[in-house]
Parts: sequence; C-alpha cells; structure tokens
Amino acid sequence: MFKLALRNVLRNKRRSFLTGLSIAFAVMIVIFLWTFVSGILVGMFNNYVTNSVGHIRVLNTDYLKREMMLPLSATVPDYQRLINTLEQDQSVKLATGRIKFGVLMDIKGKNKPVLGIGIDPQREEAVLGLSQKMVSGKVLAAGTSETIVGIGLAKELGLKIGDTLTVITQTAHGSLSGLNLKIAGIFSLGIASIDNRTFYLSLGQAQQLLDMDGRVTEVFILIKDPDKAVQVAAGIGKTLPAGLTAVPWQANGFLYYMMTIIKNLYGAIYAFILLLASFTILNTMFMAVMERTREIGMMKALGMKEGEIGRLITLEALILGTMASLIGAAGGTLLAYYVSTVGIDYTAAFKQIRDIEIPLAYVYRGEFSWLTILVGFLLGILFSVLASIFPARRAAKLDAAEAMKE
Amino acid sequence: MSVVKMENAVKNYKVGKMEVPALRGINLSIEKGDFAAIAGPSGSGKTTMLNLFGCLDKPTGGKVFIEEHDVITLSPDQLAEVRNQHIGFIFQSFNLIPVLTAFENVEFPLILLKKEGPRARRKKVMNMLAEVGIAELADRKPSEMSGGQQQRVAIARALVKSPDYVLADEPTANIDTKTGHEILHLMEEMNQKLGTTFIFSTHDPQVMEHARRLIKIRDGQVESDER
Repeated sequence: MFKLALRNVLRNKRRSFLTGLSIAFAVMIVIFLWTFVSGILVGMFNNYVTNSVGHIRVLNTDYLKREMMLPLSATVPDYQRLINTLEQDQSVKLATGRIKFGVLMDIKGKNKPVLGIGIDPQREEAVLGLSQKMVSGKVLAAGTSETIVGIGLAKELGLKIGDTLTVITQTAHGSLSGLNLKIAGIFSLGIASIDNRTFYLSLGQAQQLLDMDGRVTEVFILIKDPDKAVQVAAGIGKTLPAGLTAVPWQANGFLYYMMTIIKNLYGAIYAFILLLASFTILNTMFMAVMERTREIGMMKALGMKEGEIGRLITLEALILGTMASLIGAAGGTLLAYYVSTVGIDYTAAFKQIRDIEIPLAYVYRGEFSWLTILVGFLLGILFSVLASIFPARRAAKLDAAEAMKE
Repeated sequence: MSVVKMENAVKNYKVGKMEVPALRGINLSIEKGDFAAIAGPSGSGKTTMLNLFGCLDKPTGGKVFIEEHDVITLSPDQLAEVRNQHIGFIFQSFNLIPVLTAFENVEFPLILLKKEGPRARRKKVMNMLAEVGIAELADRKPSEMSGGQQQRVAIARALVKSPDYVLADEPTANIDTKTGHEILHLMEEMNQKLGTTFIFSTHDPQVMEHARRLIKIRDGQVESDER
C-alpha cells in the first residue's frame, strides 16, 4: 500500500512538487512567525517583569491604588526583614527593594518628567544585568553618591561621564530635598521608554534624598516558576502585615491580556496560513482522484474495500504532506535560528515613537524552540491529511462499474 | 455445480425520469469449468450481465447467487470481499496499475487477500507469470509492454488468487487479431489446465468459435444457450 501510494505521489512529479512547495512554504512561515512572535512575547514579558512588575511585588495597598502618581507616602516599612523572610520561601528566587520616584528636569526651558529608581546594585545585577548594558562608564556601586543614566536621557541632557546631575524633588513628607549625583555610567537596556527617561541610584542615596530611611516603595520578587505567581503571591499575602499586599504579574491587566490576545491572534493566523496551503492538497488530491477514476474503479473491482481506497488516497496526502513539511521544517529551522540569534532591528522605527510606555526592545529576537519546529512540522502533516478527507471519501464511494466506463 | 446463478434477474437503469430495462428476467447458471461466451450486439446487455456476475452491481429484481451468497443482501464491503475471494477480472483495456510493475500488478490481489506473506506471494506470482509466458517481463511497467503482453499480465492477475471464475469483458477488443487468438488460446489453456471457469463477453464471431458454451443475448434476454 505504501509503495503504491508513494509511486502515485511521484506519478505527476511537477504537480506534487508545486503542491509540496506550498505546504513546505506554509510550514516554514508558521515556524518562523511562531519563533519570532514567541520571542517578542518572551522579550516583552521579561522586560515588563524585570523593569516593572516583577513576578510578584509587595506594595503598600494605598500605593497600589495610586501607583501612577508614585506616592512616596505609601511605602513598605522594615523591608530588609521582609526580604529576609521572603527569601526563606522555597519558591522565591530573589527579593530586593526598589524606590521609584518622579523628578521634573529642566531641559532647554521645558520640563521633562524623569523616573529615578533607587536599587540595590548587587542584587539587581541578577535582575537587570546592568553590567552587560553599560554603553560607557562603570556600573552603579552601592553606598556612593553616583548615578547611571539611560542613553537617551544622557543625550537629551548633554550629560557625560563625570558630570554632576542635580536632583531636586519632594521627600516622602512633602518637603523639598536635593542631591548631587556624579554620573558613573550610561546604560542602554534597549528599551526606548526606559533609556530615554530613567536614571538609577543606590537605594541608600534614594532613601536619604526622599527621607525614607528603612523603607522602599516596593519589594520586587522573582520566583522560580512565573506561572505560579498567583498562588505564590496569595501565600506571601497571608504572611504580610496589615496594609501591605502581594501583587502577581498577572494582575497587570495590560501585560496579561496583551499576551493572551497576541497568542490567540497568531494562533488564528498560523491556522489560516496552513488552511490556505491545504487547499492546494485538496485540489491536487481531487485532480488525482478524477484522473484515476477508472483505475480506482478497477481496484474496487479487484476487491479493494471503500476504507482501503480512502486510506490509499489519505496515505498519498500523508506522504506528500510529510515530505513537504520536512522540507518546510528544515527551512523554518534555518529562519528560526537566524531570527533568534541575529534578530530584526527596529531602531529606525522606534526613532519615530520615542516616549511610548510599553517596554519594547529595539532589536527583536525569536525564541528558538525545537518544540515549535516539531509542532509546525506536525501541523503541516495534519492539515495535509485533513485536506485529503474529501477526495478520499469521493474515491472510496466511486461506483466501480460506473468508474470503469470513464 | 454452479459457480454463479441468476434467477429471473432484472436490471433497469434510470435515464432522467425514464426507467430503461437492460436485463429482462434472466435465468442462467454458470457451471464449474465452463468456458462460456456471452455474445450479442452492442446494447444487448452483455456488460450489465457481466457486472451482475462480477458483483459490481446489484439486480433491480430477481436474484444473483454467488456460491451461497445472495448478492442483493450484501453491503459494498461484503461485495468487495466476494469479488476479492471468488472472482477474477480481465478488462477490455487491460486496466493495469500504471505505476506498478508486471510482478506488482499480479501481486496486488494477493495483497488485498491478506492471506500470505511476501515469500509465498512471490512464488505464486512468478509461477503465474511463467504460466502466461511473460516471466521475463516481471519488472516492466505496463507502459513498457505491448497490448498483448499487458493482457497476459491481466490474465495472470485474474488467475493468481485461484478464483472460482474469471470474468473477461471483451478481452480481445483492444488487441490485433493474431494476439487476440493467442490470448484466447491462453485462456482456454488455463481453463483446461487449472479448471478455472471463464465467462467472457464478445461480439466477435471469431472469438465465439473458441467458446465451449455460447450464450447469446438480445434486448436483455437470453436468446440461446448452446453447449
């Protein structure tokens, strides 16, 4: 049966080649897109997590309500003890304090809102990896009155290494406070919204500037399994003193829904591409059945049953689909490898939209996964076989006596 | 002993809203070992009769028995099973599977039977190809053979599973006269040597001469049945 099916596939080589080509192309495109979109999603997720929402954050409940305003009056007290407790939890990978505060900077007579973030440089290395992101200068050191500035912000303010950045802002108690910070380095996270408006300083300096001794605006937590953030956050929430809450990343509606929507949307696109390609299989198999009507009639006369005829046609589609999907998967693997190592550079596009809030990177890389390639390959086969069902049924139901008159 | 039998078999075809009779109450029994020709002009009902004998069609009225099976009660798959086990077919235009070699074409019905392994099948197929005189063409595809050679492959394919009877629809119509005679001689030889029953249709008087039983039909009725 297999030998017969294989030879039938090779009977009209040009037609089989063209049909196979469309399936191969569809599989390749699906694998490429899947890799690329997964990369964007993973990148977006990681950027959002590391720079903004963490896997879980412990916040003051009042802070959560007014987070857009960055209220320094609603803070997490005694954070060091909280971190020590959290890090004893088996599911927690890392916990660190952060202070986010807004500053208005004067740039050529215009006010620009800038975000200052007080961090523990040693702990944050595991989160932000700043040592790898420095464009010039050195990384932030704890306990110094130094700062590192985003590359976009440095350009806008005309700042160089060794310059002094004077920060004047309101403290947690509403009084004015100022601090001179020496620029130790300029970083580029590759995310426009951060590079253009953020500077980091050590947590101690931020606490001093904002009169927040022993307090932070958030305790940022990474856990071992991000998918379990909701459960882990619930567990942490029970141990927190009144007035504090643990917020999992899923609570960030924008991130969660955007990821869900993108996943579903692209799922539909992959199915659509494969569906289009499978029409060529449908057409080819119908043509093959029509051309071979007489032969199929003869095979039925010889005693081949309806199911056996149907299986023969389906097997032909399976062979063609498998060969084509294999070629498509090979091409898809190369494209996926390229897009996940070299990536696609969107720097030019982002010059137009400098201040968007979504943490999008300049260069997108795909998320290379053998599973994606395997699934793409199997989907190619599945759609080929599904497309052969109608022609196979038609062949199976042919009347032997009538068919042989053709 | 009859291998296939018709009892008052009627077959009507629908053409638009009209019912056109093709067979009008045939009573006929084909005996084991017969070498029978069904003869008659075009449109007399030869092919319809062969289709009923071959389980390719069911009668509109009356009965067709193949061994103990009443054809009318069988499902499409059961009919396929009967064809597979009991009947060999030889077609006017050979109808070999073009992508298979002579050997594979002859092996095909044995594969459908699912009774024997590759080694036993190989032996049977090679024996049968030798019987019909084309053992040396076993590896050729139909397109690499003459009409006569292809019809020999078709005869080997019909006989290889030792059917109860072989149906041949105008088996010499598409080959020249000399080759036609060779093919008929071969069928006669197989009939005598293997005892296989042959039923073939023709309208060629020269072919009729070979038959040991001549069933003439006209307008869907048996006109004469001579032995």
